[in-house]
Formats: sequence, C-alpha cells, structure tokens
Amino acid sequence: MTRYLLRRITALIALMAAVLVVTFAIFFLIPSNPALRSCGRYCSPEKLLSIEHKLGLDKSVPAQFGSYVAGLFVGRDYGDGTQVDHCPAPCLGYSFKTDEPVLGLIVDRFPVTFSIAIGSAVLWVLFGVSSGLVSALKAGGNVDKTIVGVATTSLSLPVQLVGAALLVVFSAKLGAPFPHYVNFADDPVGWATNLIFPWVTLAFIYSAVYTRLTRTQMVEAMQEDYIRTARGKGLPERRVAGRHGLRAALPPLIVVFGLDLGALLGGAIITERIFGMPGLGNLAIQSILDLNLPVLLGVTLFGAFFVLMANLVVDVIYGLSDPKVTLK
Amino acid sequence: MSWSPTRARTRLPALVGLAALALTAACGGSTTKTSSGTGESAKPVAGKKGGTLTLLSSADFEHLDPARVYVTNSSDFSRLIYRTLTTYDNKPGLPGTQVVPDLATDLGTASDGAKTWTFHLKPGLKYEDGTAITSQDIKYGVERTFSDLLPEGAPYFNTLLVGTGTYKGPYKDPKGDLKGVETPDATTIIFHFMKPLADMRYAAALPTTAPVPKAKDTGVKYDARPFSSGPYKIANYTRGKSISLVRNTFWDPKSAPAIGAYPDTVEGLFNLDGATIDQRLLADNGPDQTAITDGQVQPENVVKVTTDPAVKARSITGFDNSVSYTAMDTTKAPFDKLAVRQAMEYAYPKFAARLAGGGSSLGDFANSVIVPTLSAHKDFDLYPTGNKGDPAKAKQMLAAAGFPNGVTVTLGSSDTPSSLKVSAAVKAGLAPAGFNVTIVPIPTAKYYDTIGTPAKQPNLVNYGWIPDWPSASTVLPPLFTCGAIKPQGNNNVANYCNKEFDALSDKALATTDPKAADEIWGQMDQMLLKDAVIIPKLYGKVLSIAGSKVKNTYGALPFGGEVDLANVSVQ
Repeated sequence: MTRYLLRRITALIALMAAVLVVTFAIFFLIPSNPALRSCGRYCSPEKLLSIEHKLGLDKSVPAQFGSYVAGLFVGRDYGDGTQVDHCPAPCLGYSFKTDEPVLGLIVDRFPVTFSIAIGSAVLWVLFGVSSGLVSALKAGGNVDKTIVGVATTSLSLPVQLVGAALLVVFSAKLGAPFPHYVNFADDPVGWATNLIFPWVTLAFIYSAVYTRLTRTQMVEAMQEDYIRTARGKGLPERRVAGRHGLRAALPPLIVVFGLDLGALLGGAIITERIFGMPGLGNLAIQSILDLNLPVLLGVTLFGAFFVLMANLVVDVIYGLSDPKVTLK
Repeated sequence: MSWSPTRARTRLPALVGLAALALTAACGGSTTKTSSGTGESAKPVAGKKGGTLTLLSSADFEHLDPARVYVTNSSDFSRLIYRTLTTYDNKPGLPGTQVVPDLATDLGTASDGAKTWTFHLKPGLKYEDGTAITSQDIKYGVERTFSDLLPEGAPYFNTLLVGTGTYKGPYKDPKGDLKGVETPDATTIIFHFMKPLADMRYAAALPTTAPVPKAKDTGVKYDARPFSSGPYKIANYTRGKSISLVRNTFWDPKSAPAIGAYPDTVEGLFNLDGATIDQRLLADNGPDQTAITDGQVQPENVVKVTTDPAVKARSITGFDNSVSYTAMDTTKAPFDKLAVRQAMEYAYPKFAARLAGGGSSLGDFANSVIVPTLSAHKDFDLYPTGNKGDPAKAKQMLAAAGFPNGVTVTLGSSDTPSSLKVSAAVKAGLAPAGFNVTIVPIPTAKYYDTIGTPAKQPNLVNYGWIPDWPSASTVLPPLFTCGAIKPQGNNNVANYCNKEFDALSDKALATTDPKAADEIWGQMDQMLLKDAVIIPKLYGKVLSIAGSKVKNTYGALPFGGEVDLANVSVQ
C-alpha cells in the first residue's frame, strides 16, 4: 500500500509538471502580446520593451519557464527600485493585472468554488442515488420511465440554459433576489440562500448521471444470486435492496463522484459566471480575457491538482471498498 | 488592444473601429432621442442626496491608481475617489465637455507660448484623513506616471514635460526631481512643457493631476487603495469581486460645484455575466432599482430596450464621442491616386455596412472625423450620396482616372463572423462601382498589430477613435500627422503625410483661444476629406439601461457616453 501510494504520488507530480509545461506552451502559442494590453494606444517600442521587462516577458520562453519553476521552490521578487514585492514559495506567479501573488488570489477565491461544489454534490448524490434506486426497484414501470426520461432530459440541457432559466423564472419574474456570494462565516443563512441557484443548476445536470448509473448497477445487482438468497431467507425487501443491492452498486458511483467533485473544485466556470460567484472559474475566465498568464497557470495547476488527487483518492477507496481489488 | 469588443466598446480609450462594426445589435432599432446629443440643456443637474448606488459590471476596473487610469469607465469612476486640477462640468450634452476648476482656482494661466502653465490650489482642501492637499502631492502624482511600474495612464505629462527621457520616476530615482514641474509653495504648481499645450485645461482634468501623498504611496499596490481626495473613500475593495465607497467627510462640496456626489454609498459588483446584468436591470426588482452598469445592452436585448416604453424610459443612449472610419493607404496603389480615393468616397455603401453590423443603434452616419460632440465639428458632406453610395458616379470617376475596367483592392477585416458579415456587405456594395474587393480576414487578437504595421496592412482598413479629452487636438494630430506614422503600432493608418496639414496642426496646438483653435481643426477636418484619406462611417452611440430609481442618468461625453457617476442620484 505504501509503495503504491508513493508510486502514485510520483506520477501525480510528473503529471502536474506536464500540465504546467502544456499550459505554458499554449499561452505562448496565442498570437497576442500581454504587454500590449498595458501599453495603450501611443505604444512606443521603448515603452513596450519596458512593460515586457516588468512582466518578465523580455526573457526567452525557456528562461521564463525556469524562473517560474524556481519560484515554486524558492519564491521570487517582483518590481524594482524602492518597490519590490516578494512572492514567497510556493510562488505560483504574480498577477499581471492586479500586482499580487497568484496563490493569494486562489486562496481568496477557493472558498466560493468549494461552497458551490460541496453543496451541489450533496444535492446531486441525494437526488441522483435516491431516484436511481426508486427507478431500479420499479424497473419497467411508469415511475421508472418518468425518472429515466427526466434524467435524460436534464443530462442534455446545457448549464447556461438551466442557470438562465432559474434566473428568469425566480429572480426576474417572481422577484427573488439575484444571488451574490456571502461568506459562510459572516452569514451562514445568506451563504446558503444565495447558493441555492448554483447548487440546483449543477445538481440538476450532474444528478442525471447518478440516477442512470445507480439504476443500472442496482438492476444488475438485484438479479444476482445472493439477492435471491437474501430474499429466500425472508429478509424484507428494503433491507435486501439497501444492505445487499446498494452496497454492490456503490463502487462505480464512488469513482464517478470522486472525479466529478475533483473537476468541480477546480472551478465551475459557466455556473460561476452566470450567477456572479467570484470563484476560481470566474477568475479563470477573467485571466483568459486579460491574457494574465500567471493567474491562468495558477488556476489550471490548482484545478489539475484536484482532478489528479481525486483520481488517487478514488482508486484508494475503490481498493478498500472492493475486496476483489488489491493495490500494489 | 481589444477584448470582448461587443461589451467593452466604450471602455477602450481608442481603436473603436473594429468593435463598432463587430457589434451585432438587432437591425432597425429606432433612433432614440439622444440624452447626450449636441447642444442640449446647459442647466447643471441637481439630485437628491442619500441612498446606495450599485454598479453592475462585467469586469473589475482596469486600474484605479491615478497614474494608471486611462479607459473611460475607470476615469468616470475615479472622480468619486480623487480630485484633479480641473474637471468636467455637470451638464448633459455638449456643455458637459467643458472643464471647470476643481482643485485649482481657475483653468490655469499660460505663458511662454502655452509651454508653461501655472495653477493655484483652492484653500482648505483636505484628504480623507483631514490632512492638507498640497501642490507637492500633485507633483508627486505626476512623477509616479514616469515609473516603468505604472505605465498604463494617458501619455501626455510623461511625454511632454521637460525632463521626459531622463527622469525615471520616484521609485528608480528616489532622489531625482522632475524638472518640468515646479512647486514654489504648497498651493502653487507650475508645469513646463517642451511643446505648447494649449489644451492644458483638458489635460489637467486627466487623473494624472490627482494628488498622491508620498507617505501614502504603496507603488503598484496603490491601485487597490488610492488615497481619497474626492467625495468618497474606499471602504472595501476586493479586486475582481466588489468595491464599496463611503463618504469622505473631509471633502467640501462647496469647493467642488461640478460634483454632485448624491448617493451616500456606492457599491460595485464585478465579473457578472453581461446577460445577467441585462436580466437584473430589465427586471428592475428591489435593490436593482438603484443599479446601473458601465456596460452596454446585449445585442439580443436591443429591440426590447428600444421599443418597450417602460424600459426605453430607463435607457441611456447618445453619442459616445467615437468615430469609426475606413482608411485608404495613401502610399500604395491604387489609393496613391486622389481620383481613385474620391471615387471610393462616392462608392462606399455606408448604409449597407451599418445594416449588416446591426443597424441604427450603432451610431449615426458620419461625414467627418471630428464628431458632432466636439466643439470643432463642422457640418459638411463633400461626397453626398445619401449614405447609400453612388456606384455609377464612382465608376465614371474611376474610368476618368484611367481605370475603365475597375481596380482590385484588399480590405482588412477582423475574422469575427459579425465583422466578416459587414465586410461582405461592403464588398457587394463596392462591386458595381468597379472596386473589386478581396477581403483579408485577420485574427481579432492580431488585428491592430497587423493594420498598425504599414508594411503588412491591406489597402483598406477599419479604424476608430475616442478622443482622450473632448477636443480635436487628441483626434487629428495622433491620427493624421506625418509624425504619427510608425513602422509598428501605427495610428495613422492612411499613412497620410501632408506638410500643410502638419503646419496647421502645430498652429492649432499652440492656439490657446478655444474658438480660434476649433476653427483650425475644422479646416483640417475638411482638408482630410478633400484629400479623400478616409471614409468616415459612424459617430458611435452607446445604449445602456439603469434601474428605475436612478436619476440624472445622462451619458457623459468625456467618459465615452457612460453615465456621469459623479452626478447620478438615487431615490
């Protein structure tokens, strides 16, 4: 187990490095110079050079990459003269636009993304798994058909449509306040009420997968011999389905859940934008519009970290929950 | 230099041409009464004090540090936080483009042929902590604009003052001194320029002249917390999230007659989706009744805003002070021939181009470079075709110029679907006149790089401009003088070089009497059209909406037609 973890963590670091290289490379393939953003309309070549120097873009791409990687381990200094700002290790870079370390920005935005992800995950698991269970137990009936129909529909609806529809119906027409993010610590009730729309939007779309997956797994599990044995022993149907059926159906659900949650923790871009939630997704969009490479890199790395970690955690849990799997 | 052109059009200090034609508004929006049109009421606005104004925005301000503010929405907002030597008057329409003294007692006294300007400060001016505002603080603010770390502001003081080139700003050169600014005492400031700056009264309204106390300077961090000399101070500002302003109790309204500062608090919310902002303002529920936006109505909502009477009553529309035009490269065949350029003037299908771009909400048809919202504007149309183009006449002129079979020209077009649609309409409109147009699609991100490089630019390029201040001095010299032609980052995209034009430009720049200067600018504008250098297309317009309880929502021409935040009030 220890060896397995060590191997996986090494692979995780290698993958993170790959993500870093790829993101860096993609940015420099974009045919636009971020320094021009600051240079204005009377941009002289000397002024452009001085801005490129300020942003560190006057060095070669490999040199810039080197400085970035070095900053991760030993930190970096930005500015010159009497105005030098130290970005302590692990320095994920310094925002071109707001002149502050990227890590601070990410730390500031993460609670928003985390709140959205956790709340919607709870909802989609509750709805998805319970409706999948009902559907499986009533397989073939009208209830099952309705649930499967709703799930298929919600799966095929784009996030922006569901989000906009919620805003139009509940806020614009019925007068519910348009949501804005409130800190949990400041006002837990305000936090929850303002997050209802993003939670429902994401849960509506994500839960469909869980409904269908739970249904399929359960239908399969309920036809196994041991279920027949359990029934033969005279166990009540609730206990048969809950204890024996659902348990067998769980491992694939855990895998999908882990991956979904991991991806969402990197930022729900469209949902955050529609509802004006200042999370990592919103930060990512703005950094793309601003050609703000350090922020984009930071958010991408942070997101990649969650996806890779989720993979690792899921594999470990899968191994622990399924005796047929051993981790070596 | 372009981002999300459909929404951020008026935020750009310049280069609106691409964006103006990329705007995809609904066709046939009716021409609404302009609230910031020319020569309307000269009565100062007055509002009710109190309440909270909410600003809904798709993005945080580019900058709020006075050394770095340049684009229109930041400039507009900056007047809430700090004062400048002069500032814009609180009147709708053309009178609002005039400046009045703010920190200074008057609009400055010129000497040495308008190369030297002296200002005196009003007595008793204070910062948010009650300390006195001094002329040395204004000088320090100007010095900061020389720093490489703060390069984004309007490039006037740091390119025209004596000392430019040697002085490197207060961070690199803490012991240095900017020779071009003298402060003989705490209430007097004298500027020495290398060239005459007759328009100093306008330059003095730029955020560059806002006082920055050295003790409060935090370098690049100053952007997040500029020290207040204006009606409000920052209570809270999280970049990219929100800002909240509360009253600066040390600000004396009597010393600032042009600044109403009516709401008690101002809240800004950033990074909202443009469609969501429209939803909120259209719904007009609860707190959104006292909300406004610094963005424009989304294309899909233009029809609703211009036709639904209840919404239309809350709309803000008017000129944004921009002009968009198509320039002909006068240095290359076939546009090196005046007759060919004149034929193009007659042939160009302005009406079809505007229709393809989105219709009348984009702006009014233009016949000159100087927009009607500048005092130097003259009404003339040297090539009258009712904006439809006159292909028969153009064809005839081309034949007379030695091109009986027509000519082939290239037209640079941003590769967005909306821009390509406009270009296709132009191509179709020019064909009957004998202009065989080849459209050259240019990736949007490279558009200005490409057309700003004369060696690479197509024969015809689309361009646009918003003046840095409401005077032709920030329009004609940077766009059409010989000195403006650059091998890269070129703004003179017609590559027009005429010594006579340049001489007039120098003369106007040194003319301190605004009326006399306007006369010269107007003459130069006509000269450009006689020489058929560019085809003026549209005087741009904005379309925005405000909550039902927001009053005084006139578009301020000095801020690209955006709401004058310093004088808006809530009920």
